[in-house]
Amino acid sequence: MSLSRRSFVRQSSQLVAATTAAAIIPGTLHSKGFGTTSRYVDVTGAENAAELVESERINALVLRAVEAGRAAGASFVDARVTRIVQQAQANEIAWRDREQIQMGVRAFVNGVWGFASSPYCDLEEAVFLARAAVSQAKINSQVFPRDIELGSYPIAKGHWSTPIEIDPFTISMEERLAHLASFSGLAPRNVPGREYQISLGSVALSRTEKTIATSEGSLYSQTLYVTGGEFKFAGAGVLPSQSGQFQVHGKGVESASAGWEIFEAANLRQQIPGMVEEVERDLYTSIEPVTVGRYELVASPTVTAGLLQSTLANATQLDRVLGFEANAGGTSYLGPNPMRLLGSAIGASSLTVTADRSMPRGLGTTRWDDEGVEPEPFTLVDKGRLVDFQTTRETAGFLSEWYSKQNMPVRSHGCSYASDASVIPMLHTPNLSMAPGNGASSMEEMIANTERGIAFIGGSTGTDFQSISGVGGGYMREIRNGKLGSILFNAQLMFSSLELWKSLIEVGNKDSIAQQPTLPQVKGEPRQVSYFSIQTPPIRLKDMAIVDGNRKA
Amino acid sequence: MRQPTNITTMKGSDLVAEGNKPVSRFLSQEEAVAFTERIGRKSVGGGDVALYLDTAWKGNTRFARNWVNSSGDLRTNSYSVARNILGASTEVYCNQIGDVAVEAAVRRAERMLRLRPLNGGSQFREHFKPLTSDGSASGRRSGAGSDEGTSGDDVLSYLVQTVEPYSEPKLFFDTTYNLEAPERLKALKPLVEAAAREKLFAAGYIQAGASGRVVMDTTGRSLYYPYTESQFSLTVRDSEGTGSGWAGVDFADWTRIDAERLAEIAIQKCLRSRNPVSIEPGRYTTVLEPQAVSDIFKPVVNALRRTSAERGDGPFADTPPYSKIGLKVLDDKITISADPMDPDIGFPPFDNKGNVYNPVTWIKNGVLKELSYYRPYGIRELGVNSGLPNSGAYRMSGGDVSMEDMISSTRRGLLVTRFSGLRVVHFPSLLCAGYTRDGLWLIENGKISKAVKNFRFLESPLFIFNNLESLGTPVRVFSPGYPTVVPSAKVHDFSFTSLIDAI
Repeated sequence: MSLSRRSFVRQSSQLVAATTAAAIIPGTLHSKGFGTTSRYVDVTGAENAAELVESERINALVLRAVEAGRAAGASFVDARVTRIVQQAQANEIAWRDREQIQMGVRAFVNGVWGFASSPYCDLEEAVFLARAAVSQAKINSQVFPRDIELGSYPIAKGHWSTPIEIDPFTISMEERLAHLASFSGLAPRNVPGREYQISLGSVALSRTEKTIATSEGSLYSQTLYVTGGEFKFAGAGVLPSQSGQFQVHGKGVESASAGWEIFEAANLRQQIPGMVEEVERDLYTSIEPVTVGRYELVASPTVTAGLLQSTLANATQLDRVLGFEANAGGTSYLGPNPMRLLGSAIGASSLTVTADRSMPRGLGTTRWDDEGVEPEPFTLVDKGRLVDFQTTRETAGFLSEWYSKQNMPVRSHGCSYASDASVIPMLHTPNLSMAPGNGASSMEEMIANTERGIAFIGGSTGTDFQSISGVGGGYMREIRNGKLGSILFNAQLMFSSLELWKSLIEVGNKDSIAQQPTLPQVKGEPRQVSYFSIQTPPIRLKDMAIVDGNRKA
Repeated sequence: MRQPTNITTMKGSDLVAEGNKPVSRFLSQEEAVAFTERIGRKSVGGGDVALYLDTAWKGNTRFARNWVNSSGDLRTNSYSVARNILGASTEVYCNQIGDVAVEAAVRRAERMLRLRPLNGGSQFREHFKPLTSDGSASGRRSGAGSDEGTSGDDVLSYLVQTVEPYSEPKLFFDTTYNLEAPERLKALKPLVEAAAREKLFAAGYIQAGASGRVVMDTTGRSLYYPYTESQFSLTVRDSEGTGSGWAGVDFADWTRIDAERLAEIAIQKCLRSRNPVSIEPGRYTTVLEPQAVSDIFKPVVNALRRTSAERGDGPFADTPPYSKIGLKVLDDKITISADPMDPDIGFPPFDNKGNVYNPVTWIKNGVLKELSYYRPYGIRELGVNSGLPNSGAYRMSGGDVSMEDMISSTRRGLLVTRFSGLRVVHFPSLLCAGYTRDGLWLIENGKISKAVKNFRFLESPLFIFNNLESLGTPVRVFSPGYPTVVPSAKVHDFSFTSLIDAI
């Protein structure tokens, strides 16, 4: 393509934009894309995005809401209009098309938040919501005032968009389906004793547009893209002496804050033979029951990410530590007093964990958070010592004693997030990275250096409501003399979070780091969901307890 | 030639609700009908169109550390437009009710429709059985009198044309609708103060909501059901985090929630659960409070699915194509039933796609009597002109033993308040893993002797409800969206696999 796709898109969309008013009326225009079969012109989503988030009309709504909230007596107000567009296609079934536009206003009065939200986006409603939010806060703060300072921050102005090369919404539905269809026939069919599950796959796109104004004078808008899907090839073989089945799978593409380019880069067609081969190899590997005991464990970057997510990612949320989540997501083993463990060792000296909301393609990546703070990268765990927590403007002050000792300003780390304007912004985990060590450059190398142990290659981990104890299970194989041996079925890692990170004996070097999206993070009442990305190397842990996961007491 | 092709259409100037804003906090029946008519007018090219809408108001107050953190007032419209032509069907989700948005949603559905296989599709097939002109699917049906066509479309006539009769429980309560911020504050203030007096920290949540559930389509359905929901739950912890107590419940009618009593329970549980001691993991005779019964029994109710059981999936599958209907699956004391008219349960009489909930006894005296199915399955396979969908709401009955008696008859056992983080690890056996939470005590010689540390467990509800000693009197528990009335239960050999330090 000599003409870059983006510039082309821009040109053609101008054509469409010129006819927008008429475009919506069926049967009056013909779209070039679909020839004469088409009865409707498709009005671009991509270019209208900017139009919506930056439009004067939306700005007027949020500014009016902020003004009305201030006039009603709030010390701080933020107002937002959000639009979420989601589309997903899989083969034949499970198509999804969703558009949601909502307006929300949050007001702060004497330490209490009031919030109001509705789908009716006009000026009258903006005022109504602002007054409702202030009144909610006022009523409660008269009885339960809190002494909380939100601090002052530089004003946020302008527009920011996820850096994308190819706007995924310019890839037509037909093209996406053709892309999916092109994989059919490339994977083997079922044979006796084998069952292949081919999910090659699905495409899921989302675009979130947010326009936010605050009573401090911030007025900013963001367009956030997430592109992903499921491209998986799984094979199941019947387990010896077990009624269940054993499954292995290869994975093609992970969702990321990016555009359609991730599909082009993934080159899925060429990945398929490798995925099939990998699955076949696994299916012909011997399977053994696990021998319960303590093992040296080599964890893949994926598994390491899961371990980090279910332990420190949750436990370093300051609102959990303080008990704000006691009746919902739970509390934290690093609490209840955040000062208790700050400065002390909660892991081996090779453990350093940083947070960064500017991580390329990270699902938690953003220019400004949802209360106008521009996040800066920060360190949570430094050489095994707990040095900070995830914070928002509301919570940062709870660490002022610690910050003054460290000669650091009391400043939010920009972890405020609301998926859309129907939920009140809350503390959500930013992208996390585990710093590389001086260890191996790949998981294979780490395995080759292990005499006897277990490789935890894929699967999931979870912890309790304080992130203290957890279990992990999935795809584990024994390691003997530096080589992978049998697949261990029902093998389950059992750990306590403190012990886990203190048992860290090797961290892969920077070449071994991989990035992946997390599972949905759920907290709050009403429930809120967020996502972030994690960068992790493979790690080696000593003396890990491995049990039989399906064995009852 | 590339064209930006995705039809999301709204510009800022299209956002206004165009005089369609509801008068009250959510769309009334009249407003919903007017909205549906606008959707119908935008749909062109024949076939059917359906609107599924949940229009709602919710007010909430969240508190923690003996403070109110936030108080919110939320209005939402969440709807989908389904288009169905020649058996191809699509559904588009949106929340804007202005004309531009409605038209855009319909256009998107119709555009997707062109890419869908005929007689393939998904959503509509679940609810309407398309019938070809030779009537091939009609052979086994009964109740033909209700199958008159109204669409006037010769190519397609729908088997299901009229609305199934449905019951009309009273689910809208002004006491809940009027639970605004000042009333919520009034309710929680004494509770927070009581916790503070004990030098404990209370965290909790009150929510009141009112919704209209709307299903309207061109096959003649025009369903609107208003209902309210309210919930209250709180967790009380001591300042060092060495004890934690929880209590909660939900009801359509806020006046049925005794918040003060719940707060007292949570406070007592917190005080009595402090400084727990370690005991050996293993199998214990266990007294489950009603909330714990609800937590661990939920996977059983979710698995009451006829088609998947007949396909060979899940705990109620026998050799395909048979399910375990008629076989004993639980202890013979246990009966599981659901009725929208049950005054203690009460749920909207149809789901958000218009499937009507009929009264049902799923399990009677331990014997599986019914599994859920939709109306097309009923017509096709069973010759009945109705479905038997599963709302997730249910009542478990079969005993009247008091919890005191359960405890006093226990030589050594455990008392469980509730479970947390429960997940099914093996679907065919419903083996579940999870944790005990917010109050676990050892029972020795008929008395609660001490607080013990929480356990991780690995157990199947099918196993323990076959190892049942006694059931108590059913009470409403906390299960928002899925009204649940269950008793306490005493079971034996409950498998607790490891200790956890979490409190």
